[in-house]
Amino acid sequence: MSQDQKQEAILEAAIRRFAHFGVAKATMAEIASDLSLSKASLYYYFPDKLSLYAAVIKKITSENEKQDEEDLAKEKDPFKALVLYLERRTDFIIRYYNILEFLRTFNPMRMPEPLESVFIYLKKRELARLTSVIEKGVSTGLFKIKDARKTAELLYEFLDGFRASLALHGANFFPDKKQFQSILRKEIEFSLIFFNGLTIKKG
Amino acid sequence: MKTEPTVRKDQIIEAAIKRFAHFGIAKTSLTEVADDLGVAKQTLSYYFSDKKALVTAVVDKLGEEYEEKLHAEIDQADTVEKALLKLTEVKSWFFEKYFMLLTQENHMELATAGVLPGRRNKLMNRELALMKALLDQGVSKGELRPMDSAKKASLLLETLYAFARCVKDKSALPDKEAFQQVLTRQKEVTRIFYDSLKSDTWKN
Repeated sequence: MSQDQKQEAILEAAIRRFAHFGVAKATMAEIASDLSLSKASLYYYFPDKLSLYAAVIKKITSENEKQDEEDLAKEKDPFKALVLYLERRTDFIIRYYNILEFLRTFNPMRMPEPLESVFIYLKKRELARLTSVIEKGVSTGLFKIKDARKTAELLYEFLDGFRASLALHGANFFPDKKQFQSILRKEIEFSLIFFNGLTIKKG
Repeated sequence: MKTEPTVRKDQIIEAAIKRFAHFGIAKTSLTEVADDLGVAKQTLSYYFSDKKALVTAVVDKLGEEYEEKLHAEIDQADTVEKALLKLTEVKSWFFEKYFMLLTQENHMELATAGVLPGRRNKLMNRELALMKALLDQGVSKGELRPMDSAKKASLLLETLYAFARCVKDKSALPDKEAFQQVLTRQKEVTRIFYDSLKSDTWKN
């Protein structure tokens, strides 16, 4: 196995372990043993659990990146594109909840390296997607704003705060799908009101 | 003075089964079980003095669940062939559902305390008796040839266990497909076994 293949195998084993047991309960020793790898060679690829975790986050967030962006680009209607964007985001969270749940142990304002750089990238990506959605309304003359980026930042920050206040409290490892869907419904409801506010009224 | 807690014993056992089945015994703490129920850890100790006591109660409960299901399914089968295949299916269903819990029988504290191995052996003995009864029934009805039913029952049961063991040895975290594959093989071997014991095998 080449180094890249080995690294990929480690990431896949880690995803399986993290997704089943949660990050806190999964150990480096178990991941190594799943692959019949010595702990030393696992640590050669990932010096600690945090760097492995950051690599896992990077991998799972990039899995559908291309597909999501293509689908988003295809949708010309900003309202529909917005709903699509929010739905895909929720699907992702439901799919990887047990992996993402570990992020709660960190202060979002002070993420440790190497997680921080992954999150800087992800935040940029989210903002770029929201901006592209808003631009659909600007370019067709539907929205009465000039700076799509600034408006996207405003919406992004609002959604962020909104989610933080709705976040599932406590260590609920078996969350109900309905909980996420109810958050999604509220996100959609709010964002559509926001978009309506940007729309030039006819007549 | 101890006051009556707000959760019932069976609610604790249900919550514990959910945790143990998913995380296994070693990775589950009493605090987590208590958290799931929204009660303090102390509340649990009203019924269960320690983790071992809770695991014991859980294992007993699962044993009951398994045997109930086994008998319910087998009672519906009108031939020994169907009954044997049902037995194989129920075994596999149970093994997959409680894989994390069942594969931790060597969990140190509990193994030395004899909690799990002791119960496992008793359950296997009852499975063996059930299978022997099925074979005897087949013989008396003329569906099967006369045989040493105790010996044959233990052979088939051990074969089924050996297949399950393969899943466990291959991966600590098997996927659905791995369980499905084993069930297919278990059923196949059960069929071969049955066919060779059928009373009409040598007639043609």
